[in-house]
Amino acid sequence: MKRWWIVGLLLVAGLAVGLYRAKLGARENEDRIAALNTEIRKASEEVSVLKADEAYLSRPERIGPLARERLGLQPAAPEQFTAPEMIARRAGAVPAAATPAPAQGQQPAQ
Amino acid sequence: MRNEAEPAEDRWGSSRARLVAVVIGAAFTVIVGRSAQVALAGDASTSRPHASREVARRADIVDRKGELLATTLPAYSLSADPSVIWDAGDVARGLASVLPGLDVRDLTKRLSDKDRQFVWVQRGLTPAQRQAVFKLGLEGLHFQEEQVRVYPGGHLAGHLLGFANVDGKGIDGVERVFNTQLAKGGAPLKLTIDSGVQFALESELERATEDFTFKGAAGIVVDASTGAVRAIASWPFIDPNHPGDRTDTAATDRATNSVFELGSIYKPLTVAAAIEAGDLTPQDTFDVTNPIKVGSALIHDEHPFEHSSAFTATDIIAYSSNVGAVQIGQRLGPEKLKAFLDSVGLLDRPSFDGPSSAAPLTPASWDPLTAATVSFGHGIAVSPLSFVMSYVPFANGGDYLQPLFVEPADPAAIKRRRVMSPETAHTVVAMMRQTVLVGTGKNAAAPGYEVAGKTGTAEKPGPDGYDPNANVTSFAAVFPASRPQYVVLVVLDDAQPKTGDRRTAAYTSASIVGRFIARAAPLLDVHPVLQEPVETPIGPAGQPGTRTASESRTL
Repeated sequence: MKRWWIVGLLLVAGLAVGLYRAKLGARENEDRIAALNTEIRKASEEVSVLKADEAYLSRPERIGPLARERLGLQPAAPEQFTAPEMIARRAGAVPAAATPAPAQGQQPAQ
Repeated sequence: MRNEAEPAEDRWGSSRARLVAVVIGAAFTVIVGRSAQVALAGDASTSRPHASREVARRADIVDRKGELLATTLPAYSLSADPSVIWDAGDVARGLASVLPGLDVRDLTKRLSDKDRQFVWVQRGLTPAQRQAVFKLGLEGLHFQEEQVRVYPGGHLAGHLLGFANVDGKGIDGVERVFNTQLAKGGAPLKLTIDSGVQFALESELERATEDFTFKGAAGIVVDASTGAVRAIASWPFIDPNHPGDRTDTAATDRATNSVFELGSIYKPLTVAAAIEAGDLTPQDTFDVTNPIKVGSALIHDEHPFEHSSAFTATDIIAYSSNVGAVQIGQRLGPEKLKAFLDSVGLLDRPSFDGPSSAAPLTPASWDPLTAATVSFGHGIAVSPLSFVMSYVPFANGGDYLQPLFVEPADPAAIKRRRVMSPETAHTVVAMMRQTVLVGTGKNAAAPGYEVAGKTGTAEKPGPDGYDPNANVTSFAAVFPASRPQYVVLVVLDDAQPKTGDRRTAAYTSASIVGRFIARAAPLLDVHPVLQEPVETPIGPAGQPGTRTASESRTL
């Protein structure tokens, strides 16, 4: 009987130690998660700062003069636009009068 | 004696042993029990401090293309404990050396109050400023981490964005209107604004100050298919990063919160109302040679016109005849004119999901004289935002839309109200095109972009009636005329030329609109329409290219 008591006590003690270690492990994991969350937050803040820097540096007010002065760029004038088919015509690749022959079995568009 | 005493000692000795065992056992039980409790449930007395609940990071604001307009960054607030500061002057001077905005005298006074243990020094410090303060090695200083709202574009769309205070609460503009949504954090709030178009509009308003002086200006660009506002500006601009620096003149958002009598840009609305009611056809002619008397008022035109005895509605719009507009208004009648202006949102405060907008000042009664003056834009004052939306039906085939400030523009959620037929819209746009080709709006021409529009010059009302020396000049445009996509409105308050005496809309607002459209149309994916030389074979078969002809092409 006495032996069973001792075995029981040891079992309870063992379980207590096991639970304690599990609790400690969980707390360590919580600490790691908290540290990682802090790291993520810091990284997010750094990303925010970098995005704000990018937006500040690329604002039209700054880029416009730089593009004009250093690259010689200007807003596109209407005469600089053309339709894709006009490029081929200007290059002389397609005669203006040329119209694609309808494929066999198809009727020309009316 | 000894034999009698020994059993007594044994008895007491056994009792002591039991007592000690019970005490030790009880102590062990308490220790084990407590250990188990701590191991399983944690120890309340030694539990780690919980971080206070973090305030959600205020959501960013971006434009329709995702360009950042407002964001929240980490910042630091610097406070001091005067009770532990030895030399307040030394600390104040040291801080001012790295924080130039500080008032050394005021700070020295506050830091000298030994009865206090807390004073704010400065809020919203950047990480670099915090590091600079650290390096000073001064006593009694503390930092508190917080968040600060930043607007990277400076004054870009400043009035629209508004600003949030140091506690992260939206105070004005979009920051205020969408405060609840922004305060929750999460995905950015995407506006309909296009940063490039917004910049072009603001640049042209700013550039106009080289040629004119004016008290204020407003400009708006709207996508006619959805009502999405692509740019909205009020001059003088404000920088939301420094809301405290705003002057009273700049604080007012003239695009939404000011109302103006806008003058002749109402004439196309009068014409549209009359055509839609069946009271006018484009072929009808009017004699605008002489002033017209309505009640006790004599309404006249600024200049005589050629062929003034047979003016069509196109001529009335193109050359801006008040006398002609009044005659059309008289055909239409006050009730129908009022009903039409109501249908295009000019008689009520607009209701939409966006910044607040001023209520219009409308006539108390719609008698014939009132209708006559309203027909050419006097006697009614509305905000530029309300007015620009009244031109949207011209550009989209007849549907009135509410202005839209937040993406995505869900086509199913857009409320359309048919206010005129596509034919009427097309007819009036064609009339307004003549204004730019041959009439008062020539300076609004942007080659290739087929600007159609109307000038408006209205004397400003004052306590003693209308002031002939101060006016509001405006130009409302639709472009491109052959396939309208956008509506633009520019309004200048009391524009005065720096040289010469040309201060009507034909010389002020119209030229701004023309330059703006030429610059912004490519950003809005509007391709120009040009007269392209095209080789056209008109000779005998087999001999192409013997002559060239011009052909209008949409590029």
